[in-house]
Amino acid sequence: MSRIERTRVDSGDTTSATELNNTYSDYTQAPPGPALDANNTRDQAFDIPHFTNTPIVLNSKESQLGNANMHITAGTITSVTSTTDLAALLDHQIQTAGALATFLDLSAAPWSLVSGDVFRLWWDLSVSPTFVGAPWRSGVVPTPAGLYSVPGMSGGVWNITDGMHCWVMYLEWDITSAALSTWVTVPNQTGFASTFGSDKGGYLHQTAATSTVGAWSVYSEGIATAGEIENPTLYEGHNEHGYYAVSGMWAYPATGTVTVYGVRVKLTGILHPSHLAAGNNENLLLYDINAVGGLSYSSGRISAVHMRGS
Amino acid sequence: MKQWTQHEARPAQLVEADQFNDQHREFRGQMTGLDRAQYPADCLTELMIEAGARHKVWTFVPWETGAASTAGEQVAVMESQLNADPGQFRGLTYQLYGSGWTTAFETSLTGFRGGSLLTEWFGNSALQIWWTWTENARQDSVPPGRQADRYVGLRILYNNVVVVERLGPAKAMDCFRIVGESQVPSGDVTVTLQFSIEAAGPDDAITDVGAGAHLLQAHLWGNRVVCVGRWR
Repeated sequence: MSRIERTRVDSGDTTSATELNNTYSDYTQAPPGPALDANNTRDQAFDIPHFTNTPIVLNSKESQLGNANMHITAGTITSVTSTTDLAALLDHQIQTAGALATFLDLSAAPWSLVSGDVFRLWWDLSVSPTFVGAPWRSGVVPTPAGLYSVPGMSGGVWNITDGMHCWVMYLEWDITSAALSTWVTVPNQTGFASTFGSDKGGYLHQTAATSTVGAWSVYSEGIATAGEIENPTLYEGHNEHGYYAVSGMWAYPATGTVTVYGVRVKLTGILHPSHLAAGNNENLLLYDINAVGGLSYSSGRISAVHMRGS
Repeated sequence: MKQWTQHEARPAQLVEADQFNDQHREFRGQMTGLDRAQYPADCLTELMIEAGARHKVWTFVPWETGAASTAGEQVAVMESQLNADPGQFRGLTYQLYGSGWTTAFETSLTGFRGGSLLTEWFGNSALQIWWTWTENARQDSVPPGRQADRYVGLRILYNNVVVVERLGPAKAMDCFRIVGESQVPSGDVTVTLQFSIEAAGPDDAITDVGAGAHLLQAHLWGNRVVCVGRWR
C-alpha cells in the first residue's frame, strides 16, 4: 500500500518552494512510488455520482427508411425490378416513392470512432417480392438457375427448382466527407459486382452486412414416393411471400480512427447460389438474369449506436 | 464530508490522552483508504477507469472460421466439391447430415467479470423447402400424406446451458436474428451457437440424378455475432 506521510501545512505556517514541490511529487510520481493509487481507495469507494458524463453509448440516431408509413397504397410503396443484363447491373438505394433517398445521415454531426469503439447498426423494412408466371421453371429459354433432376413416378426424370433465388440488401457507408458523395461497401461486404467467368455476383464470405430476401416460395403439392415425383408443372405449389419485415444487423469494431458521415441500405437481385469449381471452392451468389422478378417496399427504420468497446 | 482532523496539536500545547487517541484513530481511518464521502461528484473521467471495468463488447463480424474463404459461413457440415451440386452452395446435404442440434460457432469470452451477458446473432440461410409434403408418413389419410415442416432451428447456449431457442427461417432463402440475455457468473464464458435442420422425409429425393450430385439441404452464411457483458 502506498502511504504518504508529510506534515501538513496549516494556515499561518511558513513553507518553502522545496517543501511544496516535494508534497506535489508525493502525489504525482508514478507507482510504485507513494502516489495515490488503488490502495488509497476503500472498497465501494466509487458510486455512480462520481463518474463524469462518460456513458457506454456515446452517440445514437434513428432515421426513416423507405416511405413514411405502412400503408400499401400508391405513393407509399417503392418498386424495383431485377437485373436482366450483366453489363448493366441494377442496384437500388432505399428511397421514398418520390425518389428521395433515405438513409442514416450523420453528416451534420459525424461520429468519430477511435480504436476500441464499436459501431452497431440495425435496420428493418417491409418488403414484398413479386413475380409473374413461373420464372423458376424449366421450359423457359434460356433456363433459369436452380433446376435439378429427380426420377419421375411414371419413368423418366422431372426438373424441379430449389427455389433459392433471392434479393440481397447490404450496407454502404461514407467515411470520407460530409458531402456524402463517396459511398463504399462496409468492411467485409461485397457489392455483388465481381466477375466470375461469364457470371457476376459476390463471394458468400463477403456478406458481413447482407440480409437476404427470398424471391418466391416453390414447393411440392403432389404425390411423391421413395424419391419419385409426379409432373411438377401439375403438382407444384408456389406463392408470393406478401409483405413481411426483413431486417439487418451489423457491427464494426474500430481499430483506428474512422469518421462516419452516413450509412445506407442497397438492394439488388435476383441472385442464385453457386460455388467455384476450382481453388477453395468458395460459395457464391450470382445474378440470374433468366429469372425475372420485382420487389416492392413500404417503410422501415434504420438506427445505430456508437459505444465504447470496454 | 468526513472530518479527518478532530484535534490538531500545536507546538507547546498540552496534549490529553483522549485527544491523541481520537486523532490517531482518524489517521488510521485516513490511511486505510479514501471512501466515497471524500470524493466529490463527477471526479472520475473515462481515462481513470480501467478498460473493461464496467462492460465489454465482443464482436465477430463476420464470424471467423479460420479460413478467409469461408468467413461467416457455417463449416460444421460442408459438402465436398466432388459431390456438391454445381448450381448450389456447398453446405449441408442429406448424405452428410440427418438432423439434430449442431454447433455452428463456439467461442470463449475471456475477461467476463460476472453479470449480464447479451448475445445477438444475425445470419442468412438457404433451406430446401420443396419437400414440405410427404406421402408415406401417413398413407391412410385423405388426401394421403402429411405436412413435413422445413425450418432452421436456432439456439444460443452459455456454458452449455440453453439461453434462447427459436424456430428460425422457413423460406428457401431468408435472414434471421436471435437475441438472448442471461445473468452469468464471473469467469470465462463459452458461447455456443447451434442450428437444427429437419431430416429428409421418406419420399424426398436427395440426389440430383442429372448432375449426379448431392442436393443442398441447408446452409448458413453471413453470420455475425455481438456479445455485450455488463457488470457495473
